[in-house]
Amino acid sequence: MKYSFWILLLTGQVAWAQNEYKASAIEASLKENAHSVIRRYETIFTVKSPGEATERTHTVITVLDKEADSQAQKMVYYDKFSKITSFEGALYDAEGKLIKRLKKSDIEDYSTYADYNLFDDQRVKAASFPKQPTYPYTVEFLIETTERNLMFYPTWMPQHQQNVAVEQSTYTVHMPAGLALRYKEMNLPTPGVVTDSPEGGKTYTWKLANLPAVEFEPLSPPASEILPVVYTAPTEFDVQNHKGKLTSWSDVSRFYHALNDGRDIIPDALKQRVLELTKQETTTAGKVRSLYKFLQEHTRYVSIQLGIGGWQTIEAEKVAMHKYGDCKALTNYTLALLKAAGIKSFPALVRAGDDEPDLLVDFPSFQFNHVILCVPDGRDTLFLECTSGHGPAGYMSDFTGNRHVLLILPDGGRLTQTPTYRPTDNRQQRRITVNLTDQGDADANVRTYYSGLQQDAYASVMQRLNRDDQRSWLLKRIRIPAFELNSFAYNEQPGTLPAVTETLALTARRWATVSGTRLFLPLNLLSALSPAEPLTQPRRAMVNLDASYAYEDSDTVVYQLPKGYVPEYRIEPISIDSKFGRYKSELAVNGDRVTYVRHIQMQGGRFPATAYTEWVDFRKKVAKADRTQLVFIKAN
Amino acid sequence: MSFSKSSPRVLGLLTGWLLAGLTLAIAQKTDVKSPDVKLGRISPDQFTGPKTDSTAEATVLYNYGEVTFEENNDQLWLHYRCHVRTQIHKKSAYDRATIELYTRRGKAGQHEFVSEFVGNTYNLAGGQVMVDKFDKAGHFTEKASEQVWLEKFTLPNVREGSIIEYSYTIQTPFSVGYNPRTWHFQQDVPVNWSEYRITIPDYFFYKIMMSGYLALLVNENKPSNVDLIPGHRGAGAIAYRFVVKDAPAFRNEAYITTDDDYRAKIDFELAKYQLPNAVAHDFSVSWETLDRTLLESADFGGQIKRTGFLRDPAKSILTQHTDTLARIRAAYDFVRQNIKWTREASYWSQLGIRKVLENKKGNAADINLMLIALLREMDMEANPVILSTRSHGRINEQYPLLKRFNYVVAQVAVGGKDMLLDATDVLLTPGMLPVHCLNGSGRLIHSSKSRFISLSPLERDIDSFTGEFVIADDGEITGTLKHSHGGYSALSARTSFASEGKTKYLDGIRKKRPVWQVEKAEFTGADPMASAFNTDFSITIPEACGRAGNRLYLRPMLTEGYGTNPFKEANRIYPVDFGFQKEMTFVATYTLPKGYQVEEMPKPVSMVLPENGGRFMYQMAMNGDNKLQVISRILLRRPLYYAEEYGALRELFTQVVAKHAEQIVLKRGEVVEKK
Repeated sequence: MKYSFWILLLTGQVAWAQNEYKASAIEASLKENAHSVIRRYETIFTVKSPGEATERTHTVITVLDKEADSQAQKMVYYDKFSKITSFEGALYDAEGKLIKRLKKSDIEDYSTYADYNLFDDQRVKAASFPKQPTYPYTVEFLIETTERNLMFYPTWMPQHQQNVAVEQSTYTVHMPAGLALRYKEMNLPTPGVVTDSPEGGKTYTWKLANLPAVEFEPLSPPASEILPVVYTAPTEFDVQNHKGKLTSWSDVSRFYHALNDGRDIIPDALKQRVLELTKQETTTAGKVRSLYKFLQEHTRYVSIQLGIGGWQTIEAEKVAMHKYGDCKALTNYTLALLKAAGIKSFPALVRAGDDEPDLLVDFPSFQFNHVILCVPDGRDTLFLECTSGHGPAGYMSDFTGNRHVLLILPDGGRLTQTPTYRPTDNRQQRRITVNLTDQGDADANVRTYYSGLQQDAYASVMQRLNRDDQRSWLLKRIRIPAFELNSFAYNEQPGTLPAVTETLALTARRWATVSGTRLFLPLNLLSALSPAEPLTQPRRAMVNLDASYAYEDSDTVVYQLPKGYVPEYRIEPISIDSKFGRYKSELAVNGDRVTYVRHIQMQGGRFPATAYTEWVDFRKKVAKADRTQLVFIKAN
Repeated sequence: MSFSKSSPRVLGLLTGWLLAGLTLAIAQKTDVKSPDVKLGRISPDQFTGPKTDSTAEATVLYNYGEVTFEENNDQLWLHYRCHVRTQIHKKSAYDRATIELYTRRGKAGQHEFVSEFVGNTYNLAGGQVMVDKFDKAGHFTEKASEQVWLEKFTLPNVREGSIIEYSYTIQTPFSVGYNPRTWHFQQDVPVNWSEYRITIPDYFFYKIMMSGYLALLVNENKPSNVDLIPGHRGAGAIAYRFVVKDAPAFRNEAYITTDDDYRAKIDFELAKYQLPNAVAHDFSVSWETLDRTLLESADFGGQIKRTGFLRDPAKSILTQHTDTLARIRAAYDFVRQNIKWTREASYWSQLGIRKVLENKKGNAADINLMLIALLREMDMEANPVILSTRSHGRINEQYPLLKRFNYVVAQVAVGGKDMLLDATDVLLTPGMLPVHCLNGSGRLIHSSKSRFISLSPLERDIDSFTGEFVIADDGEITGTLKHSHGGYSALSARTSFASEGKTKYLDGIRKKRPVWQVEKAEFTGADPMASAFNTDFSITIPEACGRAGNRLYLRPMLTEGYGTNPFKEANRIYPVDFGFQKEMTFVATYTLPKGYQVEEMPKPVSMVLPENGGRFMYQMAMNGDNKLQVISRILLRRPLYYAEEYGALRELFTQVVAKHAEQIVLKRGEVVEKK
């Protein structure tokens, strides 16, 4: 009797496995555009108390081709607040037959060591299956962890990248009695379900099934804005005996404040130095600028991810001594310097990064990865990036600009916004003089002024690279067919907005081409825009022109022609208008002097998917206008 | 092949030499004194001393390394003492003030460790040197993995202009590592003085390998004495000293194999050692020993010795084909169609080829040793050729070092000529190696006839375009364009075509040529048996010609010309290593719109590189009344061009770019022919 019972159980398992692991069971619609199909992605997050939870994730993924081989590996991060209690895995062939189970010795354990981190207590356990010669194959992972840092609850995003289809996925959160879950659903076809659990708590469940693979289109909004995602967060938490509530932004602020309060003491000698440095300055802005300069010259950024989940700063005193610190430490140190000069300032938590989406403003939670300093000054609030050795006080770039931040105030906090850079802030103004020979060769001088976001790349090259590498970088950027770079220089321009001027002297072989009696002169060699990527499929996603599309470029090119050439035809001014921007160019011929003036102002923003065709059309017209050439013919 | 000739243009000034305990190399310069640098003793003039490159983010003023052999508790140790002084010029160099040292963990509880770390930061204030000492708060230890730990030391108070200085010792048990760490004379910033000393007791025989493009100021070795083994005081030793002065920052260039092949450095490989009253430990010394080691190894030679299990496929191939070439081809196909490559490079068979035949997958050795076994079972003389892939770096024929190799392919002689086969890729044609194998020479392993064999390919990288177009009087161009890929171009096109599929592949082409309207696209020759991979397009290019009044201006290369010179840098230090020869041909015939005639067209040009290294030819002619033919042909006849040839190569492309930019002027109406 016992014997047959076992048989029954085993056959039962095999029958179950057949559907789950057999690649042929995948519907054709899920294979379209997919490199892999998530057969099952099940997360169960069980909160036991404000300070403890377990997480169990079970994934079964069928890899369809080599592009998705990375799915055959699993990395699980942990630190001293979390523990991996179970790490299992299995590999199946196309028929769903077991090839290999993960052995303990297959799991590697290492630190998430990164060059930029001086110290970081994050570690990772990683396992991968050997490369499979044939496709499809299926991998399964079962991970269980316990968490003791419950400032963060999981984010559920089963379709986390393009070319992945999802057969079925569920997310379950068990909350104990008396502890409420906060969550935010986005792009979900059906909302989650709440049920009472027998123990008195509540269970929250989200389900997704049969999501075909997506492919990101050019100029798409960030994935987290398009794909289904559920964010969850606690209402209270307890980490290393630091208790916190989390129902409003004020709560987040209070927690950060409590952790870091009183760490802004600096030695008296330094206070004296501060007074000396600022005594000539009469305005708050002036004082801030001189102290910011002092900070930039005397300290350096090192990353030390330590202390309460990396949220507690090193004391300002220690920064004063060693002259280094991470973002929290340098922000706190700057706060202390300003305080010594009688200026109030507040840390501001931010999600930094040029392609990070803005905060979910209606979902107070720990969404931050960086901290900056906010100095209120009447209507001219300044935000200081305390880890940057370069740039004027108040410049945020696209790393922290144009987004919400959380101000840390002693009695609760609030959200505010960092500056947005407008097209007129992000300029490229170019003046070019070109002296042409009758071979079409040219000596050219190019002077360009870059400001705001457009100067970032140039400033970085100037600050980082040696002269040889600057030259190589520049050679790759200049799109003149064949040329020698005789000299170049970069200069920083003073101002509240950063700016750089670039001056180049070049000798170009065949700037213009000469055939027989004609000289063909391309009017805009240096600032020409290329057409946009054409549509090959109907457009689905919104058109997202990010901050890099808010700019203004102007070019004035003066050509000195060789003797005796006259234009073969006339070129009319070109003007192209669209919702994305405006373009103008015109030409004046005055004897052997030809002056070409071009101006384009682009406007960033979000546009409906249908606007993509107009975008392609606009860029096509601009590209064509930028290719305009004038033909000259040798008189007599 | 153009490459096999021994050229006086040596790859690198230091090609390396063998220094065993017996060799009495002649010292180059012995009177060069090292700068007097003592930790903590620094004068203000150090801050303003001469710099090779004042625009670099930092300058290493002094870099000193010294290795000695020590004995402790009956264990042998290597002690590596290092002393560095660096001036920080830019903020981007601040990371250099955090010193990261890795230490390896041994198996039996023994491990490397860092001792005596001392560091200072110096700043100049009012002509005075201010010192900030390193303190323990800046020391972090991190377990990077089971085998490797990281020690990090961060120095205080670093600013632009600061000089940082530190010294430390790394002690390595012989059981963890017996080869001294690689010493880099050249770094990513300039090094004013780089000095390396090692005193090797006569018990040890090391191969000392130098490489790079810098000259040594000091290359010295002197007899010396060591007290290494108790009871054997004053044993003989050789003290080496190497100095490179004013090394510029290492810079990467396009078309090189891998950085490591070009950086000035010194490497060690223990050949053998014998301590007093102990057995000798012998490691591979000569090529012959290396050949024998491989042939006697079960995972290499053992695999191609017993081939009986391949009797059936061998028999069947022999009965189906009579021609030698057809037989080789059949064997090649049998292996690559049955065994999938796991994308691992190796010269060791992992599971044994017998097992691999069952599993139907394997690494490069599994696959190619099986091909050799099969060919031998067919009574053909096939041999293994070991090599190093491009990303793995160059081998040196003077140093028999197994670790310099990472791959094996099969050689078979056909009509007295070597044919190399790599069965890891189904898209290769027989005799063609994949691009990653095109790296100098390999070694054919044979019990008595081992030799080096050139890996330079016979196949070229061929792109050939043939177009037939009609020009409309509004400047639109319609017609057909055939892009025929041959050799390595066919290999890469077939590879992308196979992995992307037709639609994606075509999308890729269209994205690169946004002005095209593709009416039809056909792909033929995706099978490597075909001589070429062909794409036949029917396209329209609206406004392909500029139009003004009664004239049309045509760029006859359309979208296929060279718009910019790929060689932008004026100078070059390292050879341009393409790996293969290149050939690009564009031939197009244009039918002129009715009533139009050519008013002006570019002049023909023909240009050759010195020593027949390559050529560019551009021609254009009327063919009948209304047809215009354009021919552009670029031939690069060498897989590798030396730095001295770079100027000519760059000039060739300047000509290409200039010619490809030239335009044809078409005019409506009568053109008065000159008599």
